Amino acid sequence: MKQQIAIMSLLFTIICANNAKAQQPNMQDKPGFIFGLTGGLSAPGGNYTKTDFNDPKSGFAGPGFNIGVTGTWFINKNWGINALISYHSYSFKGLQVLADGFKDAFAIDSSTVNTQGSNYSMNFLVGPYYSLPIGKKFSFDSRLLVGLVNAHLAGMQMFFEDQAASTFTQKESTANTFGLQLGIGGRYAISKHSGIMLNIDYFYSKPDFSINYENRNNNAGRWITSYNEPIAGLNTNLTLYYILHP
Amino acid sequence: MKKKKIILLASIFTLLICWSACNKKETAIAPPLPGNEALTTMIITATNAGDSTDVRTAKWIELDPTGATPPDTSLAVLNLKKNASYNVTIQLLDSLTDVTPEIKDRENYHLFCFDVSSGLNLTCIQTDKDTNPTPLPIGLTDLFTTTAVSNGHVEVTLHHQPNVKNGDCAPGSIDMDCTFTVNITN
Repeated sequence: MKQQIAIMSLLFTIICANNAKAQQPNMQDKPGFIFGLTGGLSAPGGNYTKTDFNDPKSGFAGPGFNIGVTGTWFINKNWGINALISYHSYSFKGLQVLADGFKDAFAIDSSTVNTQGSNYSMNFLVGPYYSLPIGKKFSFDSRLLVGLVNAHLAGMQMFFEDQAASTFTQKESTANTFGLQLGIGGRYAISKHSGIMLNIDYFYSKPDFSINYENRNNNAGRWITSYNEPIAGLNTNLTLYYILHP
Repeated sequence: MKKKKIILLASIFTLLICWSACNKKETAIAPPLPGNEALTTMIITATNAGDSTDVRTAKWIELDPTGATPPDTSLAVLNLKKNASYNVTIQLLDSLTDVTPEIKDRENYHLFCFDVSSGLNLTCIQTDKDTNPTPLPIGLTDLFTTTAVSNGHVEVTLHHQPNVKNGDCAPGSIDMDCTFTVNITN
């Protein structure tokens, strides 16, 4: 996966470099198709990022990153149809709260929480795109995307040092749902065929995860059987794009 | 100049993606705290099911958590009538503090077990249940049933069974181990 991303990015670098020859951009021209590689920081919020051991809505997720490919087919100078395939990954937050919580809940001497897998989602979104050219090199763009989200919730192993047989695992879980993304950005043309864009997107989905355990026997501490909270927040992205003019 | 800038930007972008794409497993440890308090006293109160005025009490005390000083068993004697049923409650103290409610709060991974010495005509059955998915006995309340006159001992152990409680005494560790003398008389 990492190698593929690196190769794609390097290919894009070469394309951009080759097109940086003395061709003058003009945002006033109608673009035909824009292809872009995008990536940046993802900052979720809400219950998904809460770290209250006793609140089953807590998701113990932290900020992460997103990468993706995006394409926009322009109907006219301003309006187009945008599609985005992106991968979001979120970090862990408050694992110490979980370790302390289980230690207290089971009245044990020491506990360790080991994460299994990661929190991520794959997004397949499509929707209208609006571009407002301001001068020859800059445009203000916005988009509203809806589509499918394949979300994954990390698993966790709770290891009790003084009672090794007590170790149990909250298994990883996957759920499919609908999602949306609403974004604005500024697009700057470096050459006639390439440029960069800085954009901020609000993302939202609410997957319904089914949570299963391995060797979970006694009812003590956090024990959730489902997790159905919004995964929502802001993406701050840099997009490198390539334009095909009609 | 522009070409260099583009290459620089794209390279930074590539590096950021590669760095971010690393999947990092994380671990958090809650280490042990020194100086955990020990349970010092177990009090058994037995009330005759057929005669509520017939209440028997026995107390087992060990104030030295290191075990260097032997427990005080002078009051750890339970005198019961033959052919009788007793409703039993168990109370636990940590020095002078009653910690029975804490054990009740943690009922889903605690279990009292009774080991009756041979020749003693006594059966002990836990009567309370916890709130596990399949309710399991706890032992804070019990039913002691006597038959013929006899003497012996009953060893009462409190088992700590975090996520391994299954109704048997074997899993987990022992929080408290007290032996009472039992006399069944006419």
